[in-house]
Amino acid sequence: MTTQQQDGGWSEPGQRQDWQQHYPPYTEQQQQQVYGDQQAYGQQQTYGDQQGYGYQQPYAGQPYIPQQPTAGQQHYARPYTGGSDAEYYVPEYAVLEPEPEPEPGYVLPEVPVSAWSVDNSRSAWISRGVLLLILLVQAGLSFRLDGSAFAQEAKFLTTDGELSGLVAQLGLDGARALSLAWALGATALLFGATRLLFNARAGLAAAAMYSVLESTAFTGRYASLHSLSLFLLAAALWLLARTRQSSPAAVLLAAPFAALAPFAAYSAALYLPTLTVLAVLTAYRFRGTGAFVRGALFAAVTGVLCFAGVQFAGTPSGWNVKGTDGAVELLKDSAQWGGVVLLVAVIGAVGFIRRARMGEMPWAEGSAPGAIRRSLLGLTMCGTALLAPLYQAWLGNGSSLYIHVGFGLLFAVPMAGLGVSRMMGAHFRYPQLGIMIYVAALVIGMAQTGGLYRPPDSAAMIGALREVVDTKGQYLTDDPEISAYYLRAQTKPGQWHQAERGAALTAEVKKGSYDAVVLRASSVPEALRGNANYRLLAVLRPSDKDGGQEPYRIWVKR
Amino acid sequence: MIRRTVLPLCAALLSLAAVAGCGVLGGDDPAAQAAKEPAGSSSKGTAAQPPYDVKPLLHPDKDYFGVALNGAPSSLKPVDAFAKTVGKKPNMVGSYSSWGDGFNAEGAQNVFGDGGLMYVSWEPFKPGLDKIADGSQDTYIKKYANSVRKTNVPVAISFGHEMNGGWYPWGTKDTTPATFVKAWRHIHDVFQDVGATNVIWVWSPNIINPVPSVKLKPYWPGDAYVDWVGIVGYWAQTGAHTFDTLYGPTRRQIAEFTDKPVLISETSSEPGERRRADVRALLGGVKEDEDVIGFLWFNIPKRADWRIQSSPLALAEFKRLIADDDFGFEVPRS
Repeated sequence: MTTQQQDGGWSEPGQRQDWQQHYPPYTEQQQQQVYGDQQAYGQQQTYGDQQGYGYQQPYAGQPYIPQQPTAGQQHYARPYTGGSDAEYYVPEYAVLEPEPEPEPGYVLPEVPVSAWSVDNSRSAWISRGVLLLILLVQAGLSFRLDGSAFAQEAKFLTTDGELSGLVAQLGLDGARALSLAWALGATALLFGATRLLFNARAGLAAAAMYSVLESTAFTGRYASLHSLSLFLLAAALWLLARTRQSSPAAVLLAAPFAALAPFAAYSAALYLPTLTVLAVLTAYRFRGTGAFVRGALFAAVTGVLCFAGVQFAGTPSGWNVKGTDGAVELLKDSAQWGGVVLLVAVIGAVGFIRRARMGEMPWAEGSAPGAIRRSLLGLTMCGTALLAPLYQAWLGNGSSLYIHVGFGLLFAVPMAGLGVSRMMGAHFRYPQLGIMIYVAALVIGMAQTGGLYRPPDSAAMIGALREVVDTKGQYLTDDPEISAYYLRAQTKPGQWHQAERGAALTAEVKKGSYDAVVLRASSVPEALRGNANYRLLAVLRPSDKDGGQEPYRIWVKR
Repeated sequence: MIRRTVLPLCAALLSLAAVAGCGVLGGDDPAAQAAKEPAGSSSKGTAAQPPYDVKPLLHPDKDYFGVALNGAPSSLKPVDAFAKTVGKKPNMVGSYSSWGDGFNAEGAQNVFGDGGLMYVSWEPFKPGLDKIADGSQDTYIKKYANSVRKTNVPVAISFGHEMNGGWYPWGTKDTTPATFVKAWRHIHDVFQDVGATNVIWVWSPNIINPVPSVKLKPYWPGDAYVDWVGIVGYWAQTGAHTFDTLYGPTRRQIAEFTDKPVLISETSSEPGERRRADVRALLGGVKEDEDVIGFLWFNIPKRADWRIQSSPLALAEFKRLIADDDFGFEVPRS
């Protein structure tokens, strides 16, 4: 029972709600005995004296002996109309002082009203079950994607950092499975954070929207640290929500997670300001100005940890590499990848700004966040989704943008969950809207992942090269990382060199210092046409002819 | 309390483990398989075979024993019959393909299945070498090349053989050496673009004895475009009757610009008194000369009866000499 229910039952008898009539806590039995159906407004303990019929609570220590009503009493026993001139028999009575309310031994703390249904263990289990289904769908969407290693994955598994030495033991499949575990964890944490910030229904909707995103399925099947970075951000977000009622110092729990995230994937650094703002906004309701202390603490500790990390591990590279990609094109791509979720998030934010609650529990007014804070929260969450697209559009560098959009969307998705929840309306009035949005997001996400997740079909190339390579040769190739990874038993990474095009390739070929040249090309480059030093060993087409991949061409020394 | 926290945790962990387990167990990274598997033994039936590498065929330790027969290689019956006649199975079967014809993929597979190699004389009777050189025949060339590539068995192709003679439309009368070279290179380039790497390119002039004034070098497309030098030279009733006098002048001229291996790509001996000696000279010469990698016997009656079985004495000599272990070998399977 919520405090509202208790308060409403005891303090406002004149304005009782319908729902309470159905659940009279203890009077029914007495009424059956005394007044039958006609007396449905028991509990006259506090104002019984006004009515003057001498009714006393059985638990007040004076056992009540039922008696046949007199004719006058019967006449009196009509629906209560709020008091009128007594034209009926008034029995003798003695005015008794009401028993003083005993001091409650325990007072329920104020709990945020989360949904129309009471949060009990059953609904919690249902939520967990639905979350499990969502996670299974997410895992399925990731497992749909298959193929050999991307160049970046191969690099991650062979030459990157010290951590990869550990991961490399798992192999490509193991590393991808690990990524999926992080991705599923991130979705679960996202559900938890949204449930704490809003309610379980919004949390499930948020998890559902996030789980079908193109970037989610992709990172869940991509052997890299992106997935870990997302998990760390989600953990920081969850801890912010979890500690929203605690003392400001509790926010320090979130700081290490937030600080680690950029070292897993540099793009996570963009979201540390968002986390700081959220540290303030989520706490305000409960800690007043202490919220700013919370934000400051979080920012300071995260900053210090990041600084220490940079001192220790060096600056993550690649975060500010300028490119030549068109800004409009990049924004258009981002809109395709995250547009639906962002749109729903904006709808959710607008709805949230207009009304703090849907009004499923009209009696449950009271402490809701104010309009300014709701606006700021909506703006922060939705705006964060634009960070990566805008930053990379400004750089003109579209590298891995299809993964990076997912970082921003992680923060917009709670609002999207709220949006779905709002659009479905109070008491699930329009569930079809939620289903439509989910199906649309699912289909779009699946189609986009299928288009984006196209690792090079390198199996035939690797198979052919295996016959060619030895431990001494030098090899020029378009995919040095992939070759070095798969042929790690036969060669060392240093034997593989990145191939170029044009004059550089001509010079390399002329020099003839490479024992094999592997290019992905639709036709034979001029440099190798009619070359007396190299002969074309094989042309290997991708098994998927619509994949848009050029065939591998392998030349070997004659 | 414990039940409430531990149970869901266990359920979540279990399902995660199951999901991850599926990933690890179900993982069949084809490239990782390719890096381990020995060639040819692909575990999956559908997996594409690696393209055939002709390198080991270019300088074999033993000599090719080839034959051209009516009806072969679309059918192997004539080959089997010939093998019975001479007592040894040939490992090269000649065929002729006119410009515009499709590639005889079935024949190529027949021969390879029988342990040999198909030799195609590709005869550009029709549109003219200039048309081939300028790219207007590319659709046909690509189709032909694709057919060759898909067959994925070794094939020797001799385009425009006897180009130094005047008796064919692609010969000296109607075209220039520059056009011949341009057309040759263009065809070769298209084959490389398409990826038909299973071809052994055979450049086959006629012996220069009847056409001494035609220099061969201008017809040479270049070392990068040719794998074998083929020499067409028949043993006639009149004319040269030793291995060196018949092929020597041509070989010496060719040796000035290339050291590619030499195949006597079309030969036979005219029936008559000298036939037995011719056979002995031919087989002896091929066996003795390290640079000559074999011969292809033209066993078809045409103008003369070139079939070896038409002369019992010559046939007996042929049988005796071809039995040498140096002749014939199984072409490598991959």
